[in-house]
Amino acid sequence: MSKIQLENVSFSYQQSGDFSYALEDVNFEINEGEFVCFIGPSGCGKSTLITLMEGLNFPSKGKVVIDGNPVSGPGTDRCVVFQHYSLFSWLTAKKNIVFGIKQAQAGISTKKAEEIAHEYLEKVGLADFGGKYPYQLSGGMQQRVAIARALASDADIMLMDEPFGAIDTRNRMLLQDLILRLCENEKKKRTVVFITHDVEEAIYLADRIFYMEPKKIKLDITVDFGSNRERAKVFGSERFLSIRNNLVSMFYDGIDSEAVAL
Amino acid sequence: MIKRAFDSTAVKSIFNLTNLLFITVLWAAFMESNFKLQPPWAYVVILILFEAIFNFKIIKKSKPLKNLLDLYSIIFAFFLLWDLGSKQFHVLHYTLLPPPQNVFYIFTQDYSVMINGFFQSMCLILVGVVSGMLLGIITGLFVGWYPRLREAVTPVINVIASIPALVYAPYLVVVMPTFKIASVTIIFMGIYPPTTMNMISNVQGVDKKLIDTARSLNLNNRGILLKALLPACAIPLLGSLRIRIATAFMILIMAETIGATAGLGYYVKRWAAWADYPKVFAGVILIGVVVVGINGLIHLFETKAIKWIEPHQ
Repeated sequence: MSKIQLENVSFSYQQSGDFSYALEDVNFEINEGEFVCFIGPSGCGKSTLITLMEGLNFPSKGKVVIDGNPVSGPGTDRCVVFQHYSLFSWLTAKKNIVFGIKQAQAGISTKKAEEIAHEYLEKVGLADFGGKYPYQLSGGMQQRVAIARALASDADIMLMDEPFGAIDTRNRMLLQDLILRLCENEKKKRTVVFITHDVEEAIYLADRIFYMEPKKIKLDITVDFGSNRERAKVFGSERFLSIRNNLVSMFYDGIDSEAVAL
Repeated sequence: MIKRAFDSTAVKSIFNLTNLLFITVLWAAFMESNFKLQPPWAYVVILILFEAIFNFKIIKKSKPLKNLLDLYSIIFAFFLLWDLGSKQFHVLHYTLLPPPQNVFYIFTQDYSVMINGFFQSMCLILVGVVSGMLLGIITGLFVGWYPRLREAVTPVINVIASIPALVYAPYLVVVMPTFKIASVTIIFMGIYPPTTMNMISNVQGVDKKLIDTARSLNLNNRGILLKALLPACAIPLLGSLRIRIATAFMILIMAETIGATAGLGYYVKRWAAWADYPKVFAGVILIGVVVVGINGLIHLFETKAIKWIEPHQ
């Protein structure tokens, strides 16, 4: 059964007057446990899609269905990691995670929540940094805390909006490996929706890639590297190169015509 | 090399302009004049206190030596000029410009009246500031968060906040049953509207991403207001606390010159009417010390309460 389903979804930020759609007649299904990357030029509506799935916005037409029910707002079955460190600056790393857990699981005791928080801090390699405030952590560390908070909330679906977009190359690689490892080794297989504009990141992480052009999905590519991926192996494979060339040429098509127009 | 460098700093920390001025100002304190002088002991104690703080800071090395030398030179030079100007050069008649020893002598005589006035004033200020800020924060939080309320209320609050609260003073002092209620009301009127306005713009200025995060963490409206917006506004709020207290002080001191029977402002006003300028000077110094003390307390509170931003020295 499909976990997330979009049926004829159109969306506009303005509701009246002379407006244009940010998304127009989008249809897709994401299966349980799938890692799906959305990729495309900026302004194509990737982030808007996430806000619809999260329930921060609602479609102007069509519907977003999760587990068979239309989305009516944010819920404990979904968690989000944004590009910009979305930690509460007035809480320590650990307390940020505890806050997330308590919001997701009403009635859980503080002690239990702290245990879970510590466990996830260990998983993202920040066991010693629980008492630090966000300003005392580097950008990559803050993002690891945000990921830990999302994972610790025990939601089925993880929505990630360019989570590594503002992170340097080295830390980005570490975080990519971390997120793959964490999503594979969990007790339950999470469904992940991951937005990026980095072609290689998308291929390395995803089971499926949706290539978006403004307002719609243009291509649905299945990436079949299976689980326990190794960076060197994936990046050296023929399959990787062919998908990469395919996607890059898609991006380049747009640039080409724009260059001509200039 | 190192030993010589050390020696020169050690020498500089004893033989310098500041200490020369200290000796001179002490000597001046014991000079006689052609009018009646009060015993200089209170004044001398103050001078020695400054010298002690100066030396303590040199030992603690909290600031570069040259900055300390500059600062305390200015302080001692100020006292010296004041003292000589009054006792030797008679810049003004001695009733108008009393020498420092006569002014500081007042503290040894009037301390009980002063302490009483201090508590009277502080009590009114605290009630006015706390009620004004609390209500202002709550109003601003709600008004800032709900767009419809914001559009309706902001223009009204803008008008009210632009009226200086002191203009209410002559009216409220007459209308209110007691002076205390009147001055608390005036202070409240000076604190509540600007706090509300400030809070509205603070809430509006909160990063939309923070609100998205809060919503995606399943916070309801109440949760967003209390657990996301309020802490997100805590730093600008604490920053404005200092201005609010200074405003409250100004309002109260002015109000006290209208209709009070005790308090710091009243003390100054009363003795000015009697042309007892040593007491007026003493009252002014006391108010300065109290305001500086309160600012110090607020600073201490800021560093203790807010640990989540980079401490800046």
